[in-house]
Amino acid sequence: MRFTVAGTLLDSCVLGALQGRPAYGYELTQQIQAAIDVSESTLYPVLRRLLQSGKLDTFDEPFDGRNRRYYRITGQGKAALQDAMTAWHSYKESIETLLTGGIEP
Amino acid sequence: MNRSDFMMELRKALRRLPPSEVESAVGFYEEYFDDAGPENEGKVMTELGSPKAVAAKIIGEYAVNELNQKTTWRGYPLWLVLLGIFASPVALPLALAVVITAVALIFTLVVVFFSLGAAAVAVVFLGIVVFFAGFAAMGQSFGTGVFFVGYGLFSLAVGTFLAWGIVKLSRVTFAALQKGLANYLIRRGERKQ
Repeated sequence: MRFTVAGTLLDSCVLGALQGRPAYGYELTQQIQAAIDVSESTLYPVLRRLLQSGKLDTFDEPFDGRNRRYYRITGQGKAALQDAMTAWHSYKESIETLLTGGIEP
Repeated sequence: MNRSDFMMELRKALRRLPPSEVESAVGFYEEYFDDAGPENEGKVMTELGSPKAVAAKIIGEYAVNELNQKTTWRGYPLWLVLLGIFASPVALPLALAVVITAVALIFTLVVVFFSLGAAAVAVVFLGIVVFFAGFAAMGQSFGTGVFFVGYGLFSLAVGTFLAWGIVKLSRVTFAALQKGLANYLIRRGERKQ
């Protein structure tokens, strides 16, 4: 069974993946895909969105005679991630309550 | 399809976006292919899917995020504005209902104005016919002939004035309708923020 990870949840997952250290596009995509099932073509729009809203920034590093663009979390991104963690905890609990039949009909 | 075909198709599918957006997206995927390595080229293309599908996601994201932040949608092509509305994760039925209603309303107005215009043209033609009939009648009865000539001119004038008035009214109506729809869409977009 599959649950779709999209929208703000996916954005937060990407922020989470980048909280430790910056990563470049391919590397980041592989990391995310190791954890959740998203299509390859989903990541670029997410990164663009996070860049536009200032939660990520980029820097370039030369590699093997070409350029590699790294994505890095910003202060704003870290704050957004914190909010996401809080929201996720309460969301997770609500879902689990329902799945375990904890709410009386 | 090989990598360069893929990238060419991608670029082509993205051509309606601003150049900076296109370069940014193309650059991302060129790097992606480079980092995956030539041995994985096929695998990457399979996983990415068709260039058109990849482009669709990019355009959709641009439409939803970029346009919804603007205070005015002036200058953006209508298809992109509509995509921004329909691609947003908000009740699609509502957006669809609004667009269908607007289309129906526009169609009705077009028919109404066309009918009014046809009536005005008829009055003009009547005027012309009676005008010339008046001259023909002068032979029999000068007074009647003159009356018809006069009436013909009057009808011609009234018809022309009506036609002008209808054109003016239709222009004003459609401009107001367009503005009203645009404002409604903008307000809806702002409420979603």
